[in-house]
Amino acid sequence: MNRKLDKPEYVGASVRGPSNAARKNLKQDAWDVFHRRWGTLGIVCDGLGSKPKSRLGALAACLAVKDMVNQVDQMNSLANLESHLNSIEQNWLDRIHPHTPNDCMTTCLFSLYTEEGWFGAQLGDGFLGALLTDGNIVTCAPDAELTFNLTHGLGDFSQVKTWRIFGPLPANDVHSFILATDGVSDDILLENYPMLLEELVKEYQPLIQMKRYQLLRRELWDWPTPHHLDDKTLLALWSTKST
Amino acid sequence: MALKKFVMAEARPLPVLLILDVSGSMSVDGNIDTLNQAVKEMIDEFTKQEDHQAEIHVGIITFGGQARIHQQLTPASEITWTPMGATGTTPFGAAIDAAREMIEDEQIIPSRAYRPTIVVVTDGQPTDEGYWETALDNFLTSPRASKAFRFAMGIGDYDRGVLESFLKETEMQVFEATDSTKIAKFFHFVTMSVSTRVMSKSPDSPDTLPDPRFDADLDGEF
Repeated sequence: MNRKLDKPEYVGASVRGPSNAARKNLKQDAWDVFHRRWGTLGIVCDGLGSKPKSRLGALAACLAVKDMVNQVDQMNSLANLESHLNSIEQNWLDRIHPHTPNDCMTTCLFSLYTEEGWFGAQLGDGFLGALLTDGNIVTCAPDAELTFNLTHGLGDFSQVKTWRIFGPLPANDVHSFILATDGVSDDILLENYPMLLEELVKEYQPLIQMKRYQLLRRELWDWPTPHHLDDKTLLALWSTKST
Repeated sequence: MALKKFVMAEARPLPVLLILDVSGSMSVDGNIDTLNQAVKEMIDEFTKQEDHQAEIHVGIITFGGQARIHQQLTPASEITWTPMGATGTTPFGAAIDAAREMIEDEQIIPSRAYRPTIVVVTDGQPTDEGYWETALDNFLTSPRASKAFRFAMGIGDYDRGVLESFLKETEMQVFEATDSTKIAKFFHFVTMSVSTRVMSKSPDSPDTLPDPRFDADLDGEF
């Protein structure tokens, strides 16, 4: 492992949506960023609103992905990410114990920045994309099953789960990376992401971490779509070397 | 504020797609007039729902002689109602095909839309025998159309098996209208169902649907 790998910058925030607020429920989205010697992991999870323990499920999923990367790192084989995705669910089951998977269902999206480059992996709805320095955006292949607010995720054993992944993208080719739950992504057109990411990085890069969080949180609170309902979580990461 | 200018300023649509039999037999007993009035009242009622969680869009596909789009999916408040006439045969399969194509087209129904409600009304048997079965099977197995909430009403001498096939794997029953007054009641029921969804904090949840154990003769209160 290259111990001189740079540490990407990031801004992330999450707010409770009007639907959970009306029901006096806590927010069911979760996000986190981990910097380790193998690189940087950014995660966004959306606990399914209809499930009683989905908040726990989303929080546990963040840790389950971190567990997977730590386990793989010990074997020095992070490059073949696809072969390790199944272990996320087992880690997650351990984390939610003694609750049932069905009660804790959650989507799971993560980005991984290692010496091999940027990886993206997505299970369920939301948006995960990398803006390249040439202005193009790389996303996971569309999943026709994910529509009309129907999704799958960790804990859903009723159908075959398909992780959608991309990468590694060379670090120098990636301007920035975005992860969002469907509360955000449903209201943003795909063609708007390149400009959005460019402006996000430009606006947030000069700020200290706490200011970034506060400002993004306020933007999510002031969501302009009429009658929006969902929790909203957005995480953007960028390497200062390529921005 | 970087985010605001990239976020959509329109509410998420809730599509309601009506697939209506306007074959010649619908002119008997004034059924087509009652249907026209019921649909108009439904659209008027949806227009009043604009301040809720979703914007209701209504589309109408008719089948009488041929399947055609009588009303493109449009916000209810923007619809200028044009009454339907009744003539010709009952090409149910072609109408179902047109509905599937509309629902699967993300330019017409974006993925951010709430689950569509699809309503079929017919008073006869499909005249495109050998075709409608395939069309319905394609509809029920297509990625998006299969996820819609479905309602069906049979008028007079309709083919119950066709409508039961349309409702397959839902808990809904076929509404039976033995006279024209029940057509209006059925549409009132569908209107209430959609209105309940747009007022709900979870418009896509099956919990918002009306109890499927309704009185099939539509003699109950709504």
